[in-house]
Amino acid sequence: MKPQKVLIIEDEPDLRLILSLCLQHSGYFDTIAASDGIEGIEMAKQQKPDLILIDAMMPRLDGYATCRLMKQDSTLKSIPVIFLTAKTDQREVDRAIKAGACGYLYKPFDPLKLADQIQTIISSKENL
Amino acid sequence: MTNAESSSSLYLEDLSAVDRLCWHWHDSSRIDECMQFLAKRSADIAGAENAAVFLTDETTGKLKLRAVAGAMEADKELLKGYVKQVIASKEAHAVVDGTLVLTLAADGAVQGAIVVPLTGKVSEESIKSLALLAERAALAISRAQQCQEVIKRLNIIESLLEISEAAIEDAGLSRAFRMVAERAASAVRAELTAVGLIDWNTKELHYIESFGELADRITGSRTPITEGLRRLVSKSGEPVIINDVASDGRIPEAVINKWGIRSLLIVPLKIRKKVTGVLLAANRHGGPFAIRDLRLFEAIAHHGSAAIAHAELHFNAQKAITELDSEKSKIEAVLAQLGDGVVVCDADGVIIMMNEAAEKIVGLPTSAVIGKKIFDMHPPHHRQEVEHIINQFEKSKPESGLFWEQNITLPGRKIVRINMRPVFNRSGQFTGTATVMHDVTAQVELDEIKAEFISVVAHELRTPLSALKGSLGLILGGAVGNVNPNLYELMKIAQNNCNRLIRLVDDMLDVAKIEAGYLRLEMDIISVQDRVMNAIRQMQHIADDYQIEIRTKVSGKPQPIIGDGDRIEQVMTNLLSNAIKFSPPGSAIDVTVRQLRGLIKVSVADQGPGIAPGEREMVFEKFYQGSIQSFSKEVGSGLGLAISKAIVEQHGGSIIVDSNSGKGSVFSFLLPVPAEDTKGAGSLSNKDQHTAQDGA
Repeated sequence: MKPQKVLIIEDEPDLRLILSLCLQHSGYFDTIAASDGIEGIEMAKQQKPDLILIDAMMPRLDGYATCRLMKQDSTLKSIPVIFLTAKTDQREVDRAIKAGACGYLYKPFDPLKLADQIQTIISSKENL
Repeated sequence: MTNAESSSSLYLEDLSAVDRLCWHWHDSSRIDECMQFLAKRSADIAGAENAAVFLTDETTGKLKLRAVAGAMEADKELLKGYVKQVIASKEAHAVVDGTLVLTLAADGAVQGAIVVPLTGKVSEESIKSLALLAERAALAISRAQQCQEVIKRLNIIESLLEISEAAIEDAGLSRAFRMVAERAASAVRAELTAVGLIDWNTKELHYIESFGELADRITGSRTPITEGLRRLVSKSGEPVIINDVASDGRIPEAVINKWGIRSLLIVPLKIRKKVTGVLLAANRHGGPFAIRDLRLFEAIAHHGSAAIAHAELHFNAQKAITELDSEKSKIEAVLAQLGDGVVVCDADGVIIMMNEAAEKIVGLPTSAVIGKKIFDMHPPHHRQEVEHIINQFEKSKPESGLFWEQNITLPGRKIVRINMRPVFNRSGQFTGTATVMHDVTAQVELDEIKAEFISVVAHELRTPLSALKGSLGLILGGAVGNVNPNLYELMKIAQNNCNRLIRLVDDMLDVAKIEAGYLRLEMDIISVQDRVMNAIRQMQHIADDYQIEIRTKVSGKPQPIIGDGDRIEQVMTNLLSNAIKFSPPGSAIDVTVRQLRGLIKVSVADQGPGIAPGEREMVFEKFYQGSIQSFSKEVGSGLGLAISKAIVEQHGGSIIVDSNSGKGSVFSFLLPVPAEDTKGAGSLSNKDQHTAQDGA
């Protein structure tokens, strides 16, 4: 099976690398990465990823605003978006869902389980 | 013309004079004039030097000298004797010891007599003339007396009517009392009348009103109810006349002397067949009271009682209304001063009261909302919910403590927390709702700032931890190739400490939220048993690592509660983690879930070293580490129990520890189970903390 292309939008370079390694290591995903929302939208338009993994809090354009803009764009709105949040409050999750996210994962994440968790979210949405 | 002829010629004039004068019977000077004329003409007709007229006193029935013509030398008592003698003989006239006695009798009643001491022989014609004059005079007196009686009765009827009208017109209690006293005095021509009410607390007769002599002193005074007076009035309930008070013995001497009364007339005042007081009339100088007075007096007392009863009812009703008005004014004054808006509705949800603060919040004057249904004041998507809540309230009981709370965002981004509660009357019947509206805009904004701050701190702490954990996880998971055993061991140490740091950060963020008042619970209907079992499953592998058995016992029918499932799991995880930490290898931890009355109790008992008595109170304090060494290598943050306590208390529950050194510890938390009828609506209280758009 051809690996799915995941766009990682994360402002922390270390985390971008780790997330990429985690997903590639699983064998299910190929990754591309952007360092903020604006760059992420541009990259999404060019690369047409199968899935977007996005950090909630970022400079310039945060995850929520980025997700909203993508969902307003006819070429991007069908791409599932999963949030990566440092969950402090249910309201953050609510905001993500309201912005158009199909799921969310918490920081710090378990690197060996991350790929499985993403698969679970995608398959549960596809089954709906 | 002879004397006899002159007398005869005046005969018709005499009769008309007698008739005319007697019609003025109500005027005592005219009566005297009439009687004087009668005496004089009788002497003239008889050719005598003098004559007298005796009349029977209406009250005493005794003969009384009313008029004398000429110089009467005869002894009055002797003359009275002659009169009695003739009356007794039932003769119209007779001569006794040279004295002509002509009885005054009409309609079968003897009113008195004309007495003429004769000085010579009197002609038959004169006798006839005199007899005719006496007959005519008697008839005139009788008619006049009857007329007087009619007038008197009319006056009484008028008085009774006035009293009755006073009762109907709600003239007031004091006026009713005054009217009764005045009319009673007039009816029986008493010098003094008084209305006294019985005060059973002090066993006194309290004179509410009096009229006539000594009224100033009597009104407001009190006299003890003596046994005599009680017998007189209260027991028999019958009216009483005492015409010789001094010798009667029933009235205390002190009372007689104090008021100087000679005759007394007492009638009970009965309200709803119960004697509540007396109406009394007294004479200090005047004559006695007649039986006829008593009946009149009784009639006045009867009507007076009705008037007093009515006035009393009216007074009490007015008093109650005044008190209610006063209470209402007080409530309105208090509500006006409140910074929070208050809206009161009746059982149908119709707004009946609203304070100024509510006007400002809603942006409408009271006049615009009174009479409208509260559902209509909510945005359309809320109406059905509010209607449903009021229906729930209607079915609830006062003890259920049901309420509904929700934040609503009004135009202009004003956020208002509305708290609606049912109102019940004393018999527990639902009578409406009271809604308090509190402007929480500033509080919500502050909460948002706090939340934002905590969120940023969490992000800033968790992002590097994520990188650390991710890196270590990838290396130890073989994602970047094999590592030699020494490196693996060191990496494992780094990973364990990284996980510890993550737990510490999580706990510290929770404590920060608790202290900021920002630990927000996501309330839902949950099963405590399920959450307890989830926590056990999560902790099972750690327990296994330390060879500790976790035993569970659930008793009673599981009852759902309203709570935050994840947080309850967190409490349970903390307690289990604590228990594992202090349990010796090979021992067991007993988890019990019990249903109590209105509560659910979860206990975690370990077989560890227990807690010293002095430390028990401190284990729930932040960063507290007990003096007893744990068996596990894990060192906790010292925050788990403090967080657990805050979570349980925020659920309206409590957490306790029971422990003795060397005998293990039992940590238990209790959570309230909502009453059956609040399970649907009870969630209204905390669950619905989301904000809604549009107006209230």
